[in-house]
Amino acid sequence: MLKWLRPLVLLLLIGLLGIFGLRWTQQNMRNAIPSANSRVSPIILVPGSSATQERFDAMVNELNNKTKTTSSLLKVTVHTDNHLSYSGTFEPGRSHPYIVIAFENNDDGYSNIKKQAAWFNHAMTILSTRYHFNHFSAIGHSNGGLVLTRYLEKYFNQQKMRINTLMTIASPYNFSETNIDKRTQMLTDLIHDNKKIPSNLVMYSVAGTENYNNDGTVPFASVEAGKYIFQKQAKNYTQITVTGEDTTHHDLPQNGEIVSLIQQYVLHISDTKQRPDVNVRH
Amino acid sequence: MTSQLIKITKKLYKQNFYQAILSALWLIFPLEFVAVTFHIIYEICFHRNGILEVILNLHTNLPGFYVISYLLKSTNDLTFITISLLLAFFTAENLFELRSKLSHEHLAGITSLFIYFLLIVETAPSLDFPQITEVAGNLLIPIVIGLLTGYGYSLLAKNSHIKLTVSYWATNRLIIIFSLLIVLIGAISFIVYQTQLFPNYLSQQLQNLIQVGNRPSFWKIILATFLSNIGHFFGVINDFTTTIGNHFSSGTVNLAYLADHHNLWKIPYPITLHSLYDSYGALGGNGMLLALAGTILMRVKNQRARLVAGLSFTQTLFDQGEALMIGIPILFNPLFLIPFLVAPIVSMSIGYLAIVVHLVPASAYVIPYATPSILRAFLGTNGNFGALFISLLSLVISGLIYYPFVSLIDQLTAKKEDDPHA
Repeated sequence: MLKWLRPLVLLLLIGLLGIFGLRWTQQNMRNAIPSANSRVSPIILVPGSSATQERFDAMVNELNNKTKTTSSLLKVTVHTDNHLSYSGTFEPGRSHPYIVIAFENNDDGYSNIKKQAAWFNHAMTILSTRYHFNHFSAIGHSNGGLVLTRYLEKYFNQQKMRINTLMTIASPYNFSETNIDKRTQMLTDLIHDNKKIPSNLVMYSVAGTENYNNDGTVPFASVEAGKYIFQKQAKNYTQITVTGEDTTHHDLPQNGEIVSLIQQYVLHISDTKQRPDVNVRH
Repeated sequence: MTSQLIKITKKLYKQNFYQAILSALWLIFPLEFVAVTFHIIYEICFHRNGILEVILNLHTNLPGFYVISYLLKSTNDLTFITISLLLAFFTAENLFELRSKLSHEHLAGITSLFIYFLLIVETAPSLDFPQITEVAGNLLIPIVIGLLTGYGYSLLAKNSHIKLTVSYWATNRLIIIFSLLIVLIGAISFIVYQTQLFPNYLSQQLQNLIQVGNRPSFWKIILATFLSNIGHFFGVINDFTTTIGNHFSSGTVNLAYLADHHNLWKIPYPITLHSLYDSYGALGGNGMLLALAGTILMRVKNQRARLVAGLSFTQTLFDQGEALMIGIPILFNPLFLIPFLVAPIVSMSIGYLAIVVHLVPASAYVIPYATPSILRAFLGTNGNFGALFISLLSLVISGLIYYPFVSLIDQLTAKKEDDPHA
């Protein structure tokens, strides 16, 4: 009797492990986010209204200077008939290639942001197959941040794509409304759909303030309204306020302080040499 | 051929150094058994994605999960370091006693232990606990150091007329010996750091040779397994095959494909270390030890072998064959060299053929960590019973390969018992 007990118990254990292990394996595969990251992880830059694909030239220059790299810059404009025009280069070997996605129709307004998000999705589908990437970080200036947010909520497919870090610079989540209690239609919609925002997203919202209320164009309260969308939904939501020189709405992307923030939080390259690792753990 | 093998083995058994190794291994077997048992508990319950951890979701359901996991991990590491220290100690002791038949107040053992500990800590790539543990996993170093020290002391004992005890004379000599040793080991470590020739240098060079190209071919996998198993046979416990498997991106490409298409039959790289080695070539750890444990239990009458195999059978189900390797022992045992190297290669060839002729899909799914080896192909192919069958088949065939060699255990011990009477 006892002789048969151990084989029986082992067999039972193996059987149970097999059944439950299989369940885990299948579960794991079903919600598999592409765990295999492509080597290329571009940084997608989206300009705001009235801005063209040249919007980020100064900022990228500044970043390349600071990090002592020569990352490539590809500029793409999505036309209203969905075709893409390219200029610049894409060099996957460089640390972080930059891709600007701008829109031919760069008007302001909620209805246009909806259209732009669709165009952006179209461009991402084409670019990700053309340049073989499945994860990226994104920076949006002004309305570009709104386009990115809407893209994440409406079009982003976590099974195929992964976003590492999102930084929006002076994005007016509540348009020009200064009173946080008065939510615009867009903010209401964005909050309503915020469950779709990936829970592993690391999000930074940067605001500039020339005076105590705004950066000359966008009210601080409107930037701050982003917290109703991202907070508790994204993995991290950090609100950063930058003051001082070059803090008008249009100067913000090339503002030295913001360039440093991008370097630190999006590129993850720090200026100072890191201290050597301490080997002995306590 | 079998009689020759027995002859060689018997000759080896008569050598002092071999006896020293064998009795040292037997002395550390109980500790190794306990250490491996706790190691298995750590791996299945507390390792990230360990099979019980994912099934029961332990890291949220078990209070104090991280504390227990940390404690268990460090206890494990320390036990394995202790085992190799003891091995250095006992090997030197045994050899000294066998050669000079003197009482010497454990000087050989203490010296050997001292040399070994200093050497592994000082030549580890960094003064980091896991790193030291990794170096300590190499059981060949303590054995060689133990043998050299034991041999050295026995020479010293022969040439001096005074007994090697802690007498006035001996103490004086010992101070010189220990000081010289410290300087010597310091110098060796200095050279190691300057030249970057760390103890794992050779295995890294071999890895670089095999890691050429962007996907592993069948022959590369066979070669890697062969080298890894030779290492294991001589006590160099390594994760050579895993490191090489991780180097190639074919596994991740497969996963990316699966995430999109969910079709196992058409994955881009069906032949990987995961689909061959993990699924069919390492059932019960390196060398298909599960087959060996089973065969011993079925066939052998020798009490000691039965005891060891009975104890470690459950462990080999979870791929931890170290206790079995030390207890039988398989380490340095010419009886088992051939099946230990051949059985995994035959099993992997069976797996390879089955995959190539599309009898079973290649296992490419992510499976829980420390899944029992029998289930790995089954889970990796998303529950394909054909794959489970091929696993069992290769296990049975490995058992058949081990069979003629295992039966030699009884012959050997029978003759050994006869010898004194003859």
